[in-house]
Amino acid sequence: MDKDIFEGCARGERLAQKKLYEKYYGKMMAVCMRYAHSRDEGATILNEGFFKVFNKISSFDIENGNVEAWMYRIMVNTSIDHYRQEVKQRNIKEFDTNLHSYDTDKSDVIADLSAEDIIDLIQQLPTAYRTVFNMYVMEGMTHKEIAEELQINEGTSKSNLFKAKAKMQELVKMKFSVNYKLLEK
Amino acid sequence: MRSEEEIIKSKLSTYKPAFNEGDWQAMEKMLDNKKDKKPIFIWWKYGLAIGIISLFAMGVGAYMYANKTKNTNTLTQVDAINNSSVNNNINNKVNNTSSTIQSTNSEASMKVATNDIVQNKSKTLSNKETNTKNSVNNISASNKSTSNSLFSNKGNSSRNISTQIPTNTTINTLENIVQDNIRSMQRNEFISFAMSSIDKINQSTEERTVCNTITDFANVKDKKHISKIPLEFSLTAQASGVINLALYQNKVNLYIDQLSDAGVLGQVMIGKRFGLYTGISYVDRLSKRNVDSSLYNDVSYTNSVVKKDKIEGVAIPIGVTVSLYKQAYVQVYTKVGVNNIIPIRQTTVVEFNNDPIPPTAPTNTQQYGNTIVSSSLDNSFASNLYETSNKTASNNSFSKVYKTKPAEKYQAELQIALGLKAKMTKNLAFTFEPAYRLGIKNRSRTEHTHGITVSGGFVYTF
Repeated sequence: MDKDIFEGCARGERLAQKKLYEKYYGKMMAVCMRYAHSRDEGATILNEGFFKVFNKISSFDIENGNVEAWMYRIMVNTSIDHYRQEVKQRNIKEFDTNLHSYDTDKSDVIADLSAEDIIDLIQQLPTAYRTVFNMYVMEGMTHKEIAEELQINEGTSKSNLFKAKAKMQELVKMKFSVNYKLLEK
Repeated sequence: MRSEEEIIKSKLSTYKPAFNEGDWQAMEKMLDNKKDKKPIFIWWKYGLAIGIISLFAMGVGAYMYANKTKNTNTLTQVDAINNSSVNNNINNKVNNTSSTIQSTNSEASMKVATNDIVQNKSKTLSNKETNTKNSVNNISASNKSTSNSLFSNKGNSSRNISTQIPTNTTINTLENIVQDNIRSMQRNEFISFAMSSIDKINQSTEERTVCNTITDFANVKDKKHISKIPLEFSLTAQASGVINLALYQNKVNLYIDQLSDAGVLGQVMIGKRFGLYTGISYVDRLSKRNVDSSLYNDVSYTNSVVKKDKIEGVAIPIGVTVSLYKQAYVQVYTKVGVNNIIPIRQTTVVEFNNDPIPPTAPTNTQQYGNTIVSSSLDNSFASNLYETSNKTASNNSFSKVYKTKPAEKYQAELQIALGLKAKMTKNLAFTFEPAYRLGIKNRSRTEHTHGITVSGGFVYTF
């Protein structure tokens, strides 16, 4: 099935392209939304990523390669590119090398959140924190790898992850306090 | 905390947002644009190729024409010599000699008179004779190969002409031969004829006169530039400013545009007055304007204005030049031509000012500072979009930059210039060129721009 779709995409057939897009939309959109600050931005990144997929599809070895992993990598790279572009344009100064302590016992609270809630929280993080958080937590990259990829130093990467988590907690707290207030009413 | 990360990871790994048809439609637009991008690139390449081929063809044509006219010019030069003061001197000498001969009224007296003239002038002219012979020999040797290859048939006729000269001939006989044949004689033939003449006119005044003529001819012929078509290849770099009188919705909007051109121009002169030019250059047309455009009057961004509109592309100018006034170091000329522009990229900067009354926010809104912007603005650019970026202009305003493929694939400007060229060295000159430019084809969106530009550059003449 995938092979037919891939061959159709390689020939530039619109129907095949739509099938591939529909098939992987959910998984790939989830990746892009994590890196974006809004759903619309996520959709923009997704389409940029799929644009690359359609352009490079003829060079992909469908017999031996893992389609999903390949597309996932493209989406992550596109998201990082998008972040770099934003840094360049907006001169983001959200990096901070000071580490602060925060309450680490929040796993039970997080467990109560839905995936949509978590995405919503991640999207509310400042761009730099969000990017490092995604790369470390979701992609499993080391601080050294993140530092190389984003052209920052390792300390900054650690700090941003730390702050991302602190901010997440703050946002969770806010979210729950609102919920509790609503329940009290 | 690792457990918290694990929870997040596991929750998100199964998360799949539902398919959105709108996202696919945006994807389709991107894919359609990709199809459109290709022709522009191809056209750009065609334009570049045409420009280079045109320059090359003009160069080859000019070279060939220059070689051909070199020979034609020989005739002109011979003609000039025929009418020159030197030639008049020949006539005068002949007339004087004739008068002397007539006044003596006898053969004996004629001989005496002739001998007197020869004796009086032979000393002063003997050096000139030697120089002339040397000069003729040198020229003959240096041009032998060219002459033979170009005029091999006529070379035979020159020998025939030379054999017509009788020994101890008079200047009148020579002159008659020259008059009969001069129009058909080429340079080498004339030289051959002249050498034969010198050999055959023995110790006479006329001999020296002929020598003078030959020397003069040789000198004239030695000035290579006279027989060469003026061929110019110029390298120009221009930076121009223009005051535009843009017509928009039947209103005149005055604003300053920035026009920059940088590239190579080749020019070939045809004759002394007319020339053709073409070339290739990078162009940058930047308009800074504050006009409301129908493209941006959506209710959700009433305070938005287009601050900048820039088109970058490749131009292939083609036109004619006419020399109006020319002296050794200064030339005034006029230039009429068309700038054929192939736009590559258009950058539009839309600025959103702080709106005192927040506009109605439609669906899919984005908040930029204090302004809510509809994504329909993005959509208005989406069909041709390369990239978009955001920029904070100040605390109360925000700019969005759209880099798009220009809607038009071809633009053209009519250019009428009055130029001044001043020589700095033998080959190098600078130009100052005020011009009037009129957008004649798709200048920029709905506008029809025209204005005055001033540009300058350097010209190297080969």
